[in-house]
Amino acid sequence: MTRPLPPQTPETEGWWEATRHRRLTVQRCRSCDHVQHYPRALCLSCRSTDLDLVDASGYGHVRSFSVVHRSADPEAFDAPYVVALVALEEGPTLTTNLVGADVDAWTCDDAVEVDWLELDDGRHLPVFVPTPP
Amino acid sequence: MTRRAAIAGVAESDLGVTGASILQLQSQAILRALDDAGLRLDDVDGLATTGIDRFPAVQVAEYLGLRPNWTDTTFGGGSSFEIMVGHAMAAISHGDAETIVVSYGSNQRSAKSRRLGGVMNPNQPESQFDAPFGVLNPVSFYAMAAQRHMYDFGTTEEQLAEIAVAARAWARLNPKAYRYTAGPLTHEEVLASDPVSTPLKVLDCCLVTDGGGAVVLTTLERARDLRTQPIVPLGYGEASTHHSMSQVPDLTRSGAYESAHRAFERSGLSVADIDVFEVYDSFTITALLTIEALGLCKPGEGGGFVADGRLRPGGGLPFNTSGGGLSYCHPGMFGLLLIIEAVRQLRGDAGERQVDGAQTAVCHGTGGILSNHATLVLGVDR
Ligand SMILES: [Zn+2]
Repeated sequence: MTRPLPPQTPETEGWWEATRHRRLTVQRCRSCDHVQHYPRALCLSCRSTDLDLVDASGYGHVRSFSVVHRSADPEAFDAPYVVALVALEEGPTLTTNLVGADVDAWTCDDAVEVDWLELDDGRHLPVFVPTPP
Repeated sequence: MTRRAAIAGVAESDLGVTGASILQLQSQAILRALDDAGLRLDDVDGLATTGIDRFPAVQVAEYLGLRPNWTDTTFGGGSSFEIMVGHAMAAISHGDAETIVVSYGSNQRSAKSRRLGGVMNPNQPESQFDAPFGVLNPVSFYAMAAQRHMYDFGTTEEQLAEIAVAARAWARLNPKAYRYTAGPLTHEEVLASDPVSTPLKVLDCCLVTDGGGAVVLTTLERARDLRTQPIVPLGYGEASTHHSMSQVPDLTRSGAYESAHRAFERSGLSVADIDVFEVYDSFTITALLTIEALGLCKPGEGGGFVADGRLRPGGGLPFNTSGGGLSYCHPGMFGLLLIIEAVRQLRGDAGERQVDGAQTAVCHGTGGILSNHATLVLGVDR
């Protein structure tokens, strides 16, 4: 299973670079402290363009999920697998995969924490595992 | 006094598995709709279409030998055509165009051009932040909306299945429906169909067919002299909330609330005044969420609301009377076919599936992953 390498753009380069060190970051506005993801050229709250990347805690909860039975690409994803929307403690939501538990074991609102899946070029994808109770 | 627009002609292209090109399907639909109205190509001075490369309206105009003075190639996925009718209403009332054709054609089934993962451009944030996780676009998103609805409100897969069952029952009254002769559908069959992206199964998902259609709009004044009964767009509303999966503000409360509110407000009607509902049903959950958004029931109560079979023929709430995207036709974007069916119902032309005395209809288009919405309120000319 080899996942295709995601493209990156100038405003997302810092976010992807941080994944090389297994650091999950979110964008924070220097003017109003609003936190957002994915990285953009402006703050969605106050429209300031003065933005920074800061480390996220890596903790969050499952807003929703789905078990995919027909792989999006059989060479990259072995069905069944779990796709999800995870809301980070800091607020923003990530599209991701839930791993580390049976595909049928998940429920909305489950507590999760980040784990990393290495890509061929040394970047990583943030995926989520159950937070130990 | 501002001019008002009216719908004077409607038609489908061939549907199903056609073996035709996109431009052939477009031509068929446009010529048939003009014929329906009693108009000719030379009467057309405005053209709105999408779903063809980068210059959709210009391309179709060239193919047909038209030189329009007004074009619209808005792309809003499934809601594109409700949006285009909204734009055409404004253009006709401003005098920018006299007679506008809104058209669509797709040969996706014959050409096998549909891809399960979705089509993604590297410039889209989705290519970086959604696609690397193997989400099926759009199925997995709708699946997650359904999952959350079930979790928050106790909605069941069986209640979702009822939407597919009702659609099949209507399709069996529509000779043009892809599933016209397929026989009735049961809850058990829907529940036993293969999972695609849980909780959605094959039979929760719309068809993949060829097809297309065209709608002809002109001034109400002119439409009154034509051979069909004019159908008047009474209100239009639009709303966009997100494009990427991770950016959805609320998984179970879509922008349909706002677009419907705007359309009803402009029409001076409320949901209780509407006789026929033609609502985008890319998936069973799409229809369920929109039923709530239109105000047919309270938020979260859609599952219980549909469970008694009221969406079926004779069930009391005429809903997706063509058989919908689930059982009639779904050529990639279904929005135009919603309008065609509503117009037929309002004219009293819907044959065996005719809703008695239908005077008003709502068409609700949903684009992308509940991304954008457009609602049209239509009525007979009084
Ligand atoms: Zn800010």
